[in-house]
Amino acid sequence: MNFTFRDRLNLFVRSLSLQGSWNFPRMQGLGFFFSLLPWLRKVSGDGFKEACYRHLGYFNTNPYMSPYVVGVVSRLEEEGKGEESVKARNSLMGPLGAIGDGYYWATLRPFTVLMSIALSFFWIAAAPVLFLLIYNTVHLKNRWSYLNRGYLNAHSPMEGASELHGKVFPRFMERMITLLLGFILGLAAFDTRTPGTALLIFGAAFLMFRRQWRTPAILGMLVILGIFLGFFGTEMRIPWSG
Amino acid sequence: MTGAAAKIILSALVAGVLSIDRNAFGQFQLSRPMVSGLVMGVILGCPVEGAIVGLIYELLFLGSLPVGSFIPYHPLFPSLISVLLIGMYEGPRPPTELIGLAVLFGAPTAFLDRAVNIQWRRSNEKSFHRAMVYLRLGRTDLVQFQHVLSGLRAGLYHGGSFLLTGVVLVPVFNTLLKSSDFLPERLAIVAMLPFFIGLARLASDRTARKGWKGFALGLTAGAFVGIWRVLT
Repeated sequence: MNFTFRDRLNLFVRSLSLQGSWNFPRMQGLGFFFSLLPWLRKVSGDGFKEACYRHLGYFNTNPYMSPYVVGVVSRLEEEGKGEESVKARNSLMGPLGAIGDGYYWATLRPFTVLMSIALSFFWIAAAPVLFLLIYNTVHLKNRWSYLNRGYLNAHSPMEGASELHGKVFPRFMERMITLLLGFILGLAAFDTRTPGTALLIFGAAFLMFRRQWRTPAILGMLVILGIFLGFFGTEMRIPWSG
Repeated sequence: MTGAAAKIILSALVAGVLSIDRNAFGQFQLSRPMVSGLVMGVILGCPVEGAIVGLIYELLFLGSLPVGSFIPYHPLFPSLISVLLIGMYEGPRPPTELIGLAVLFGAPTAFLDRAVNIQWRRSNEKSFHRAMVYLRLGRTDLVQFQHVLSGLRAGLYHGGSFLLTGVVLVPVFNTLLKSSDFLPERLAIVAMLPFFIGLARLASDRTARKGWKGFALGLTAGAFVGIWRVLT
């Protein structure tokens, strides 16, 4: 049977709604089933109901990585290896969740956000556009390729999964994140026209975070300090205010 | 008053739609404050202030990651509420000093946003059980409908909660503003606090793992550019 462009597009679009019915006991279970349903209907024949029962259960991974699992399961279901598809699904979701969280939430998003914020000091309207453009181009392109690679690597899915992002680009982004953080701090501190106060606030917050204080407590304490300083006439210009 | 009510309703609609992107379909990051702040600002006629509010909140919440089943604090409500409060200003253009007070009002709504999100996720448990029943009956069309309905309900939950929050906060904010003219000016310093605190949070984490070299290099470059901008 052919894994046609139309099939892939259908699975891809449906996998975008993976989180739509996220719940605590089964997490993305219903979303995963929703992604897979048209393909199961096409390939399962008389075993359609059993195939549905197999894949309406617990599922949780990084939402951007789910097309890979969908691709793997699609191929195995097509070949009539139902039990094997369940094993592959269960063994893939954990590692892919860790890979996706590390790549998308902890690397790509901070990198694109920080780059956009650095740009905002020079051209404020371009910042959100740049962020959306880069982030969405990367994750949509990747999601499409995960689906195809999952289908192709269905018989050795873990090997394929470990090679999804390469090493060079994530390492470059990691380095740039640290650099951009420093750059934004230096730029913003001087743009407030009161670098001393800005660095004082940054330093106090930095030390509190190093001591493992919780963010709401830090925010609350520094806001009280800010109000106190404000009532004594301390000012801080907002960098983007012209 | 009709104008104010229309603005609150419009903002609640935006909150509902953006929460669908965040929770149910795509995760295109339209609900990030940098984007949502600008969108709300454009709708309410204060695009610059909207963009500024978004940038202020962006860093504070950038380190909050939805890892596993953890539901982190999200900046959708804080950024939209802050821009809504600024957008309520009656005048040609809201003064920049207003941002501090709006941030002070908006930031705590992150707690509410998270509570609503958890409630929505709990409500999806029933949808899942219904889906199982429909599958037993062989009605896969209704199973799919449960999934779609859950996604749309995310918009309803967040939009509805935002509407109630707006209805409570806007009059309080306006009353406070009318009763004390000096307040926005005195609280202007608060505006940049989330920005620097967010920066400190990320820097603390990154320098602990990756060392100081890159950070120091970036800081030096940023300081040079900052000084050059001040001088020119």
